[in-house]
Amino acid sequence: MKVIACYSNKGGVGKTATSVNLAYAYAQSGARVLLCDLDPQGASSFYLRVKPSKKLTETRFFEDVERFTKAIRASDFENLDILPANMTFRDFDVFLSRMRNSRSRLKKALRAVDGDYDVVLLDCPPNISVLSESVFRAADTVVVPVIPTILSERTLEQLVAFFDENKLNKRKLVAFFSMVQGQKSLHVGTMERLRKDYMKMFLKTVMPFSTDVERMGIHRAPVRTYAPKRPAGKAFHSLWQELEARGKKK
Amino acid sequence: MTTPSEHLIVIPGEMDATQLEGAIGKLRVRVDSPLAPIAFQLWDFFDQSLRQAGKVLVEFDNRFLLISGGGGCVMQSAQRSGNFVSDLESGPVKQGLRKVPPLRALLESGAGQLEIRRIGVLDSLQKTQARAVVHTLRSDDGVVTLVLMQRLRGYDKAFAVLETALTHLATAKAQVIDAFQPIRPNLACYTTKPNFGFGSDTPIYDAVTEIIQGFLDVVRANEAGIVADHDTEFLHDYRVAIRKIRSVLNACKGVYSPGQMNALNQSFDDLMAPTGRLRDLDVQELDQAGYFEIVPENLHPGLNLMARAFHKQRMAEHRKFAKYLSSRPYQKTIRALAAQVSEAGALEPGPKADQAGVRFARKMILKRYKKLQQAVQAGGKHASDAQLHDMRVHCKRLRYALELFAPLFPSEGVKPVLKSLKKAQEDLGAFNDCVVQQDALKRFLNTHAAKSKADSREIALSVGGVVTVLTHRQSIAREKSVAHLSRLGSPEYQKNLRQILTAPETKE
Ligand SMILES: Nc1ncnc2c1ncn2[C@@H]1O[C@H](COP(=O)(O)OP(=O)(O)O)[C@@H](O)[C@H]1O
Ligand SMILES: [Mg+2]
Repeated sequence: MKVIACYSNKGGVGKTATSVNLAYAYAQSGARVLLCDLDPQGASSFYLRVKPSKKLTETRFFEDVERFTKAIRASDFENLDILPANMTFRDFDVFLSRMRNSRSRLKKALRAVDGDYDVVLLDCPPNISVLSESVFRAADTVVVPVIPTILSERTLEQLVAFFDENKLNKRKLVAFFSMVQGQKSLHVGTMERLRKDYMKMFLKTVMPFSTDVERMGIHRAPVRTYAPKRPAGKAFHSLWQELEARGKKK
Repeated sequence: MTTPSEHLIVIPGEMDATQLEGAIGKLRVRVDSPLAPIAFQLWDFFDQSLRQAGKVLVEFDNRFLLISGGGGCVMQSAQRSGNFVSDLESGPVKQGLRKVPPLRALLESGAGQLEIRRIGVLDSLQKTQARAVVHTLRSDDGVVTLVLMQRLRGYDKAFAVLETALTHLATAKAQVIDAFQPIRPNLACYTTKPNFGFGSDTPIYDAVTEIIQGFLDVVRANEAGIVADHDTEFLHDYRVAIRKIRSVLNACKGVYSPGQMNALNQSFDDLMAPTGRLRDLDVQELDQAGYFEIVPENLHPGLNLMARAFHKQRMAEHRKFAKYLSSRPYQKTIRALAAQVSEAGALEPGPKADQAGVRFARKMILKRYKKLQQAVQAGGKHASDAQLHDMRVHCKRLRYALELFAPLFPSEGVKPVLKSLKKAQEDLGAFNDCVVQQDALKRFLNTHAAKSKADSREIALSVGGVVTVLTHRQSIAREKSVAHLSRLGSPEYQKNLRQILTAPETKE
């Protein structure tokens, strides 16, 4: 089981869009995928038409593991399940640490019908700075969408510094440029600079700014189900390909 | 959706998915358009052991689906190196067939076209909450629908709702096998003991005709097993069925016209004639295994030489007989015979045709008993081989008559009478086997051209060893037989027999 977190301490950078589309790509490739919607807003659940689970908000996670895993729903796509959890920060912390503990009840209860999930994708909410460290420890890979602006540059710097300070493995960090508008010279310039500064961290794939992604809210389905040949659909696919290739190299 | 756990519902005939609407509350049904039809096959064993166990084995799309009587099912790849159970890949279907002997072959018992459609049960967000794959199996004769429900994690309620709705359309679980009946209506049930519908008030003509019909089905049901050479039992059952028919004909003079009787006798003699040689060789092979145990090891080389020679002969004879069974003339003959026997009134009645079965059978059975009694008395305690053989034949005739006409009499009475008859027959059978085996061995010695003088000496030594043991066994079997036979000839046995045969009339 590998854990991939879509993380950024900024909101609106494309974490949820990436989580849903990556989860779909992994599932299509045959991996058994659990997408954990950790955002109280339940955005990824919304995209997969799964109604948020009301009961869970009242449940303290560490008190009732079973209740939690019962909330897992099959999506309409083969191999892709979703945990529409809008949990409190405190629960989230426990959730992350127990997920990796093979003897924990959570690990067992999380098992898919026919065995472990191959991939667990975390769609992280913004403003979880208190808990960031738990996410970084639990995840094998931390995928960071970066909009090529000066502000994002600073954010990324902070993130790397945090890894250094806490002796976290920086190789877990995988960034890619999100919502890129190729005609903006600002974007182009920032991308060039960042690629130079963080040579190994950035994926080649560039996620263009595209209405096809915005239309996910209308289709309530992953981009590749309705626009597989369009630039955004292709970009999500190559994002997955690159992550897979990196995963194999390790 | 994680890999679904499957759940099967069998629906007789076609399923109309629109019927589900309304039965699933606020949810809605979406029916996808069907995939292009593909072929399917139904499989069973020669003796229809799957069907008799209420199971169905379907193959389609290179997969096996084994449905159990209760409606549970397992699936696995249908990839295989041959049609024996041992040729299947290991998996849940093979596991489900583990009680079948590994060298039993799967035989096609039905086939047709399969149409696959997916249906989904959607909520107000158009999210799928339950899913099922509808398999419509169509043969030239009928239709059956298999619905494989897929459990979607977290949607147990919708699953239950759909399941209930489908179950309303479904066949009761115990009758899965019946739902398949329409798509293979002509599949005759394999059994060596046909069930007869006649009773004490049936005219003898109808009872006899039904018996012939029933055993002719048995004869035909064994053909495939003989040709495929799954087991020597098939030829044995094939012969027993013919023998029973001949025995009935023999006992029922006057039921058919003399001309008809002659024709029937001729037909069944003709069927029996070509079976003898192969049966002898089968028995030889079966017995041979035992020879190794009854003679010391230094005599085994000779036995091996002999076994090889017999095996070669048997293979050749089997090829010949299988070719005959599969030949057009044989098939034409047996089909015509079956058609004639099953057509009402096609067999020309004789003067006694209308007699009540009970009366006719009683007289006939008593007559057969008397013959047995006479034979027993003639032989006495020191009966010759020929006399014992005579007794054995009469025993068998009486037993067949009792067994075949049993439906005419109260069944509780027949059982004990048959039981002592069976016991006597077992010993007589053992006695006869010893005689036959010795004859066969002697004939082999006289006719077999061994490759060398050394070989022929080895064989002679071994055969000598076996014959010594067989002679000893024969004398034991003889003693036991005589004891049993004297019991059969006793006035007490006679009284019992008379009583069961008269019982129905006193009731009338
Ligand atoms: N590549 C893109 N092009 C255009 N719009 C995008 C793109 N990625 C995301 N969006 C839109 O931006 C908004 C925020 O994206 P989201 O994935 O929810 O970000 P986050 O989860 O980081 O808050 C959404 O309305 C989404 O449709
Ligand atoms: Mg989000």
